[in-house]
Amino acid sequence: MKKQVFSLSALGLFLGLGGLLYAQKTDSLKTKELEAVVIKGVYGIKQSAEQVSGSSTKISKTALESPTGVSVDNLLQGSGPGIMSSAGSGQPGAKAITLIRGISSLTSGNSPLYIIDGVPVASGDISRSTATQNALSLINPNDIEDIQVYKDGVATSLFGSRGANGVVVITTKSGKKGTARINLTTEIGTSAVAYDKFEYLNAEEHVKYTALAYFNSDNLRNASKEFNGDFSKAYTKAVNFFRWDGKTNTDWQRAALRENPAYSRYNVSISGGAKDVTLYASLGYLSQEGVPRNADFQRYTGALKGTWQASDKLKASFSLNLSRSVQNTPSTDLTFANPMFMARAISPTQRIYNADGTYNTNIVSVNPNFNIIAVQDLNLNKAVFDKVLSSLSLDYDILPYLTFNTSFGIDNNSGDELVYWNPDIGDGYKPSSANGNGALSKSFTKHFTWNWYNFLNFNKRFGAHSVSATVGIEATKRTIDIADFEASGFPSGIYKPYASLAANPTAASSNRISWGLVGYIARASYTYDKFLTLTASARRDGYSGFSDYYGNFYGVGGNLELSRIDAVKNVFKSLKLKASYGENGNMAVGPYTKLKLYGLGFNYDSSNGAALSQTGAPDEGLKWEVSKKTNIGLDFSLGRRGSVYGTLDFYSNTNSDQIFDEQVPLTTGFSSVTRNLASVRSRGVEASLGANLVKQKDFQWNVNANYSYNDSEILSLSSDNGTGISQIDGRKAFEVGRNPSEFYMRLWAGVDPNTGQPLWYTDGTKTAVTSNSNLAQLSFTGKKALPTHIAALNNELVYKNFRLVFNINYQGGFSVYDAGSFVTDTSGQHFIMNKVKEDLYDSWTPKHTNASRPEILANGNNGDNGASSRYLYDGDFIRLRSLELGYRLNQEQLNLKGLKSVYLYVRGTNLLTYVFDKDLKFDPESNSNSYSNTISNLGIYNSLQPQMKQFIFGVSLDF
Amino acid sequence: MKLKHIFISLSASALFFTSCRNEFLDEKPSDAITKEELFSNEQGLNIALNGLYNSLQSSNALGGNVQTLNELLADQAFVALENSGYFIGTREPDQGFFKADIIYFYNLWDNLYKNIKNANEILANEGQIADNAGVEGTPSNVFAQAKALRALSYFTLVTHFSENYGEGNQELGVPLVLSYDISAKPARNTVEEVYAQIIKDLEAALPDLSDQGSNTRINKTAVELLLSRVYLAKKDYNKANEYAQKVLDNSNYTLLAKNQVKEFFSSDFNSKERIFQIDYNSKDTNSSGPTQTWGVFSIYRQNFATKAFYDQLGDKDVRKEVWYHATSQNPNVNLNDYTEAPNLVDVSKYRSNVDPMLLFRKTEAVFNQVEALYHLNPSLAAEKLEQWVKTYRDEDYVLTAKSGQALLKEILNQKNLEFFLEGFRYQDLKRNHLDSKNLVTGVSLKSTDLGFKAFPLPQYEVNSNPNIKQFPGYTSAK
Repeated sequence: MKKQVFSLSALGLFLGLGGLLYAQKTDSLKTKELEAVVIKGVYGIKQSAEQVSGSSTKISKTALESPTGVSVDNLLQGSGPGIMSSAGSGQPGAKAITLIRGISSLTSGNSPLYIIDGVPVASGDISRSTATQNALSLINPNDIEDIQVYKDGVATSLFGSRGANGVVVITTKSGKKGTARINLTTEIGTSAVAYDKFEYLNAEEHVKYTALAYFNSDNLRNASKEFNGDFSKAYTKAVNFFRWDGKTNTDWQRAALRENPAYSRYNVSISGGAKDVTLYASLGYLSQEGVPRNADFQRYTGALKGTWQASDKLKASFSLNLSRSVQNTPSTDLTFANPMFMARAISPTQRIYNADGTYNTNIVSVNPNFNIIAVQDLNLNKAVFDKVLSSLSLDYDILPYLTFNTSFGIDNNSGDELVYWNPDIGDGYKPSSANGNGALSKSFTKHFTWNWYNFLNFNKRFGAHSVSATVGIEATKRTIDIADFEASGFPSGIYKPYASLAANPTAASSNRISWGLVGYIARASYTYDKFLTLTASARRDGYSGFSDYYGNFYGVGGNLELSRIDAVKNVFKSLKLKASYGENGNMAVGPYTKLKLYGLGFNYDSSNGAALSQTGAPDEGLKWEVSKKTNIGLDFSLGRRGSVYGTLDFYSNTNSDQIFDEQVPLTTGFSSVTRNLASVRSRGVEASLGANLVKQKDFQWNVNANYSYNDSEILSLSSDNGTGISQIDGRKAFEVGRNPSEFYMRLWAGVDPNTGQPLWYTDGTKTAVTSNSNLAQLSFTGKKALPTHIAALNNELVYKNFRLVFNINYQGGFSVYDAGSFVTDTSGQHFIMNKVKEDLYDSWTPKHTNASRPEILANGNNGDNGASSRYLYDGDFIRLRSLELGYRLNQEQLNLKGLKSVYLYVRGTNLLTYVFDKDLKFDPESNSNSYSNTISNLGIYNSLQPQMKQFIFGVSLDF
Repeated sequence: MKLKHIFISLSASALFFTSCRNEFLDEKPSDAITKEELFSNEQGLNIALNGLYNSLQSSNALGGNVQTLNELLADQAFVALENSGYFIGTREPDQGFFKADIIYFYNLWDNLYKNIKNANEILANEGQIADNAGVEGTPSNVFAQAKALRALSYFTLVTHFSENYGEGNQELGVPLVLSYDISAKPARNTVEEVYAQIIKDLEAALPDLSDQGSNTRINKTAVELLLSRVYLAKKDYNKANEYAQKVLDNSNYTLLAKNQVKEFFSSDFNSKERIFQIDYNSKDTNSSGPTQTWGVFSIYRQNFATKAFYDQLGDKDVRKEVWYHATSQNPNVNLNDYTEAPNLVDVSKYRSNVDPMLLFRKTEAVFNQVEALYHLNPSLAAEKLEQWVKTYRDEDYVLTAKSGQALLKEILNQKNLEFFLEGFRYQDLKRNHLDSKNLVTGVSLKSTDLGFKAFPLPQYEVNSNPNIKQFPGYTSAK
């Protein structure tokens, strides 16, 4: 409540201040030109620039035309203040983590709502059996005209129920009246790993490392003294252990990974329009290889958009986007089938192929049969997704000031995923399986959404007063149908990924998830003399997932255009003060979570079984999570042309009554129950500043920069749990007063110079150390995965025919955890697997006591490789996200009939990366995709595919 | 379009969404049902009972990890240096494995309380479901099975997470949860209370159970055998002996004979020796069970018995190179390729991921009786032990240790030779205060060590329940 009072009084303050100033103004309305550019926004709402209240960011055209990734959300990186987007993995088509103004929800979704041409589309990861499938990867950025990101309470309140995490509104391209314009764009490129500083032992070093493990252990533990202090005996034992011929030095990474993954993109579009009709049509193809040999992504897209002014009152608009993506995604995470992990971990002493050219299946490794190269060659993880996104909207001007808008849209995403394990090598080789070797699983998924809204929009000016009002209804239905089957028992030596070959069908299932959402919306806005605007909106939403379905949301905002005052006008072209407060909802929960249910399928002895599988919401039921958003800010532009411009916003968002998975004692038979419980506050500052430094006919130079500061804190959690700590996946825990993404683990205290043993702090006070990890408490590390600072610098320079565009990103104040180090960076544990160089050269020995790694012992040194802050690194980085240098030839220069312009360019993405932590070996933009909740995934590097740097050559022809 | 029409269509759509809005929003899941739907009749009750057996199948407890941990945490088994990472913490010195955040403790605790939750949900309907003549079995039999399985879960919990009955810290049993309550934050009951509940459940179950039907359902004889186990742990040796004798006297089951040993684990899954086992089949496999890490058929062949264990088998012992192999049965992977050769012995009890997990077999009654008699009448114990080994396993067997702790150790060694990987060794040593010293890994556990007193509670439990106490000595986080 305090927040509300604060924001309302802030609003009052602005209004009072503005009123005083306005009273002094001399310039009167009558002398001013009244016409303003009217923007048609969501739900057919028309607004002039000064009527727009609240805080939003428009994504630049450059980001869309020169994409730095395959999915729309990849392009949001560094695009504006308050938007944090970080890639999940380097797999093309992988989900990115996109957060608008930080963390809002602890255990449920944090993704913004994406609306394309009025349709709330599926977003996030929609894969089930393969590694990742970003639903947004099915949209071709080239077909997008405009992206608006709504951030504050009043801007998002129109979306009511789903505005809590921000809203991204995407409008696709329309044709423009006039003669046909044809554009043909071709890009080809090559890639490389953007950032990877890992260096692994070679064969001889790995043998030496292993010999040291034997030798040191023998000295320390073995009374019989097998080697009698003779290292060469230990060395011989290690040679024998690896059955090493003294020569083999296999570079598994080279065999498993592509050095220069290829990229190509082709796009053709035609647009134009006659008197009443405009059309835009495009076809696109994109192909991007991943770093592992068995990773790639292809996308086929088609778009058609038409508008028709059917009469002076009726306007129709129709859009259709069709696409297909075909993706090969090798296993991620720390699995033996992840080529990123295993190609590093398998010992270089081992051969890939036998002398006769067959795969080596007697490898000295975690499993002799697990030859990662063969697994790459013979297994398949393939996802094919098709998308149909279509909408039809009609605008009917009932009266000049009263418009009826209706829009119906569908979004259909169907997935066909295949996982195939060959019967001979790797996961498919299962000698104890009663169903035989090899396995195939097919998963079919259909995400279908329909959305219909009807709005009446009123817009009228009465002298200096403009009023706009809106009422409407929106309904959405989504169904997700899934069907799966599995089969095992494939014939040895035959590698065909079809179930018809299998002897034993092993599983079949299907089910459906379905929910509905209905919203009633009202909005009113009043503007006085282009000076003062007040906006209020309210929305009532019902969602299937809540006990009483309905929740009420609202937002109020006001802004003052101070440039209407002469004293201000002399300096500012525009100076807008704004304040807003709004309450949004968050659906944040599946449609059935509220129900106490007995799941079927818990079978036994080939007959039906059922068990209480879902707690349901306890007595109090589930209701809407509420996000309270306060924003104060200003937008300004200086100079006659507004050539210096900027924004400054302060915000505070509190998400209370969160849909929270409260951890409960396992004695209940469950680990968590979903309640409306926790509360989190995110506060921050966002600033942007830009300048049109030069604006001449053949020389234009724009620079803009943005910076965001975000601080998230947990305000409350459940009241009666034990320690007040909720440990979550991803080595983190929640506690009141802390950032929700803080890492929680044992605290590493280095190596004891006297004994070579690992040391941990006994607890968070860091006052005492122990070499026994049993005595070291799990503690908060003071380090978190969510960046505090995000900044970007964008530059666009056009000089005569040349064009230079670049974008630099910075993220700071966060840490990343290397989850795979427990295998590849240890002091003897898992010595069968290869290690980083430091493990051999900087490990403790009686002569090298000031070491960063403990003494190497067979089977590890006191569990030195257990999860601890040892493997936590600062993630802060600066990255040259994109750089494009182009040369444009216009019609006169070309003098070719029909060809209007040719644009030749080279573009690089992620060309340079600077990290602040000199020990950080992997890309700081690393977020796991292994967990269900965003916070767990943040900052966890589990041998993900690395981000790529790209070098692209492109030609764009306009006819 | 006329203005009127627009308004009509708008209000029509408004009407549509208001009039049927609750139908529009009301969604039902496709693969789950309510309590009322499930527990409306005997068929539903049987389905719920299958759900309880389904959770029993989990490899997190009685479907594999109880069996594996009882070997790896003791003296006669180990994880090889060449391993896939599973159970590797059991090699850590200084009881390094016994940490509250080790996943195996979480999984064990979690799975056993899931069994209990499923049993409680069934038992909440006791007396409310009529017997349907058209349905095989009776509701009272279903309730009896639920009670027996609940008792089995509690016994597994209390023997691992608490000190021995009557010793040390008796306050810290495990929480007795007898009905489902998602909001409950139960404290630990005393060890005495837990044993009382186990015995109460087992005794209540007995009259409604029979030995008819499949050995994949808990039955009367299994409960009697479990009672002899429970009384042995409770140091009530007379009753332990009494119930063991009941099992031995039951002619529905016969002790596994010498000539049956070979087929016993490879094909003879309906042997008269087998009393109760968990069923798996080709659609319902135990892929994370023992065949993941033990034996020549395992995916990650990394867990072995020690050579010292193997060497206790006499030359004529019928189990030698049948259940336990010192030479590899897989030509591709020679045991000598392992660093710790020749110390590795393959255990071939579980060969396929559909092999039933054997929880109760008749021969256990022999050992329960012999151990009880060790306390009551040591010379009779010695006599019975020698006689059994000679008759059933190794004709050349001669018992040298006839009394005292040497006899006890021999009883337990013989028990492990028979029951290796069937879930006994760690508990047997703990119950009898015997130190464990693993000759291969060097890991030692004294009977007074924390790891032999009680497993740590999962950190998760301590975090989420203000009323539960961690076993003293374990570091709890903050």
